[in-house]
Amino acid sequence: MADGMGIHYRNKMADIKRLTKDGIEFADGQSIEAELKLVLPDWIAHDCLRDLPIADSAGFIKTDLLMRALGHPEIFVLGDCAAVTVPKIGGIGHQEAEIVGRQVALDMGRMDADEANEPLQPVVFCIGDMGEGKAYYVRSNAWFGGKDEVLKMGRIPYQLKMSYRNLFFMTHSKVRGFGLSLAQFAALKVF
Amino acid sequence: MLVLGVDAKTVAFRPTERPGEELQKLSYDYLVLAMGAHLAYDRIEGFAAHGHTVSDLFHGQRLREPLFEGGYKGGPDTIGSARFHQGDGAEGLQPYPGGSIPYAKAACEGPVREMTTVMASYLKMEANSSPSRITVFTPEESIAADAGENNIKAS
Repeated sequence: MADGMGIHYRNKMADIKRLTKDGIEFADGQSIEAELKLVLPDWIAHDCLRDLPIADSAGFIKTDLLMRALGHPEIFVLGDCAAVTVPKIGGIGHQEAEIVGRQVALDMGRMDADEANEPLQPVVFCIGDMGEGKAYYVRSNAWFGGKDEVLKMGRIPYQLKMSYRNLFFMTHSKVRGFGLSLAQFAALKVF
Repeated sequence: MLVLGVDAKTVAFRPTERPGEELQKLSYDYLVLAMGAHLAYDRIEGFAAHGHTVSDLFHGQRLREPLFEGGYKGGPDTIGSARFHQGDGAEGLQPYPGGSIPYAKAACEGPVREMTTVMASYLKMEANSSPSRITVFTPEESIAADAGENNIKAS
C-alpha cells in the first residue's frame, strides 16, 4: 500500500535516540528528516508492578492462558499489563476480560469447568481509517499460529469504523462485546 | 496503586481525587490487575518540544494546530513506532497448536498504519502536497507484522 501511494518505507529501525527540530535520530546513527514527527512510544510496565515476583524481565505480569498470575491463581491479569498481551491492542484485552469473567464465575460456582476453561487464543482485530471515506479491516491469528487472515479495504470497513466510534462515545468507552461480533459478521458476510 | 503484596494479599494505594490524599490499604481474596501500561513518551528525548502523536486528546489537539490553524509547511513528515522491549513472560505459551506468543519489536502498529494512510489522504486532498512526502518507519521486518504475512502482502 505504501509503495503504491509513493510513501517511503524504512524497516528494522533501531531505538529512537532523539527527536530534533529537523527530524529523528536513531541509536545506530541513521536519521530521518522531517517537519512533523508522528511517533508511537515504547509501552513499559508500571513501576509498582516491575519488581513483583510475578513480573517478567520487563515488568509485565506472567500468566497462564486463563489469565491467572503464575503461582497466584487468585490474581487475574488482563490487558496491557499482562505479559501475554502482545501486541498491546484493546481487542486482545477484551478477549482476556471475557476469560477472567468466566474464571470468576467458575470459582463462584456459577459456571462449569468445561465452559469456563477456554484458554486465550489471541486474535488481532483492527479497523483503521484510511481517509477519503475508506478504511481497512484486519482480523488475524496467524502470527500466533492460527489459520485466520482476513483483510478488507473500502467503504464498508469505514462504516464499521464510524459505527465503532459512535458506539464508543454512546457507551462512554465501555463498548459491549456484540460490537466486535457485529463488525466481524458485517466484514465477513455482508461484503 | 503504590504497593502490591502478593503473598500478604494486600494492596496499598492513594486515592487521586484530590492532591494530598492519605495512603489506604485493602486486603483481598481475589485481585484483578487491569492497569494498562506506561506509554513512554517521557523516555524519548526531544518528544515534548518536537514530537507529535494521536494517542490522547491533548496530543491530537496539539497536532491539529499546525495542520488546521497554520504553520505547517508541507513536510517532509515521518510516522513510526519506537522500539518495544518485551519481557520473557510469555515464553512457552502455546495459544494455538504449534504456535507461540512471538516477540514483538513494536507494541502496536495499527495507529502507525492508520496515521500514515490518513496523513497521505490529508496531504493529497487538503494540503496540495503528496504522500511521497511521508517516510514511515518500523522496528519490525514489516509494518504491522502481527496482521499476518498474507495480509501484509495483500495490502
